[in-house]
Amino acid sequence: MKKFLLKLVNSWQVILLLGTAIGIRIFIFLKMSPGIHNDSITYLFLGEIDTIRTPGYPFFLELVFSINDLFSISSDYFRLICFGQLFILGVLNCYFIYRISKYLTKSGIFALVMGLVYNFNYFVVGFEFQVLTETLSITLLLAVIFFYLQIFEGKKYRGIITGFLSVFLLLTRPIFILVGIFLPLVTLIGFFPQSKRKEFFKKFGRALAVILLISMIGVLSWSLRNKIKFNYFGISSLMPYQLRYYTNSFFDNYKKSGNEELDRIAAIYSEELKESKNVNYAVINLLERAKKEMKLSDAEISSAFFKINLKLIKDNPGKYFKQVPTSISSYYKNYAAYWTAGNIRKFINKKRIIPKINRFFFRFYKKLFTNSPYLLFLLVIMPVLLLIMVRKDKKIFHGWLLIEAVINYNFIISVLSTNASVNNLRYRAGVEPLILLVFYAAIFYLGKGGYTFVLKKAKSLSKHKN
Amino acid sequence: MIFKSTRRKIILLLGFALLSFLLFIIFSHNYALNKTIREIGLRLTQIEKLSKLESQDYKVIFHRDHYEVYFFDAEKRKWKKSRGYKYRGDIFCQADEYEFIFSKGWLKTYNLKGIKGKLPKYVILYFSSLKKLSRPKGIIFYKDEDWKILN
Repeated sequence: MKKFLLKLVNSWQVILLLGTAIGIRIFIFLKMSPGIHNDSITYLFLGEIDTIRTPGYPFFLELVFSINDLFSISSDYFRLICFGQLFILGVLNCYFIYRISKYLTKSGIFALVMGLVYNFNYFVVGFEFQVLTETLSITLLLAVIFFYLQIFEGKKYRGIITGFLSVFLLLTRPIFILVGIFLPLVTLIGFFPQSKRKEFFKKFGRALAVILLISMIGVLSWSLRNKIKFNYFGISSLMPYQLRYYTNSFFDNYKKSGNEELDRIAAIYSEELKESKNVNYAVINLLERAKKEMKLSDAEISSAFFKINLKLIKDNPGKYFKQVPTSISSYYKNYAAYWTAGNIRKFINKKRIIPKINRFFFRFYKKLFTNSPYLLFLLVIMPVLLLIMVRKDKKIFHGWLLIEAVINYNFIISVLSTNASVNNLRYRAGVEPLILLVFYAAIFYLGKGGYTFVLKKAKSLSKHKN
Repeated sequence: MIFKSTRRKIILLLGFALLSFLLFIIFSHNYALNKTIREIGLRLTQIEKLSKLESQDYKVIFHRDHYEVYFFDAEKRKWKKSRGYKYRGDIFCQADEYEFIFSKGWLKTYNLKGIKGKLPKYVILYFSSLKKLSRPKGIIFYKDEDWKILN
């Protein structure tokens, strides 16, 4: 009992963190109305997933639903999902932010502040009551980073855990398809040159190989399932439909490829683009017509459409890259939470404490993200400063490099696969906590460095006087 | 010899107990009933969203062992069957051929087999397990309004 109490007192940071996270979420849960979007309804049935959606998020939903089916807790299923997202995933996110911060700065207080501040980023927390993949993606991404970093602490089985979590992550958010290769690659670049080669492979080689292997098995098995069931090899057929936002204007100058099927699909889509008032209807009509006229399946159309898009980009590289800056701007130079429409006033106002704090951070982050000089500061200057400041400690340097690499990986893939037409802001949500973590950590290190500098100066001054 | 420490033994025992408990509940009748009701509820939300997106009316017909979803084809002025869905396990609907017609997400009207004359203000559709008839679960449909699962 004494031991337990002692342990409890020693864990005051975690208790305070989790208590606050749960308290805030109780407030949110009582006031929110679940956000059910057009995308949401495509995740509801795990057994009915097509090639567009991946099973990660439906699996999470099925887990929550199944527990509810066992114990008959609620018949308001969407509130139930939000409950799971708020109290399991949201609280886990806070905890992971705390642990990652603590590992990378060795400061419990800074980590506690980071964990607490996470709760007041409405841009991110707002997703916890939307039936969308974002919150689960954040949890999995943070978990992957957390367990991956533990490999270098010499902890057992972390390679296996990271591998499985990576698969869960990429099957929730296919953008992270390369995560299993990407993380070891960053390690090789950032960590390996500083350590002795033989020792490095002896210590970490097996864990990194396991991650790579499990990720590959994960990708291949879902791709194979799609091939067997839908004749589509790949984890998701969403990419071609995202790329079209870039290529819609290229269809007028489509040069025939010689492949009858591709040329016919391109011709149908071009016709539909001209006739449909809404570009989204052009795709719906393309699918209907290609099925009827060419007897193709959804997966076959998607596969062909992907090839057409790649061909169009290859034929029009200048036009493609001309659109990239607006895509970048849509991804970064933006700060809103429109998907929580109907809830915003409840959680960002001047009346109560939590909405007041939310409002403060919302305005602060909005300023940071929507002002070009501040954005440069946030995305370039601060991360570079941070990496310079921690360069001497190889483990810490490797950790921050890894986080920075994940941020930029998400950015590059998002920006190159979809342009501004779909508003890339949502794709940033997955790495938003990491962007801010790097920013705050840089401030922390600057403050720490400044304090040490002043202390040294004061000491040397007093020595001189004596 | 395989399990060296007591801690591992305890974890294994707890895991086994949890698994047995879960299996027991899964094979109990409530699980299948709850799952069926949940799937119907989610399906109704799903088709409501789809119908709003494509501006189509839709209807759901509940039979004893399955239900069917139809969308209204405005061009052909005809109901077009979308899909049929079976209930889980031995779950059955206590009513047969109850038809609920929705427009813009609201329940417009219903046709109930065997009931003629003025329509009631609401209909409760009961589902139960063949092995446990005494514990049904229902969905209430309000005319000109919405539907709700009765917990």
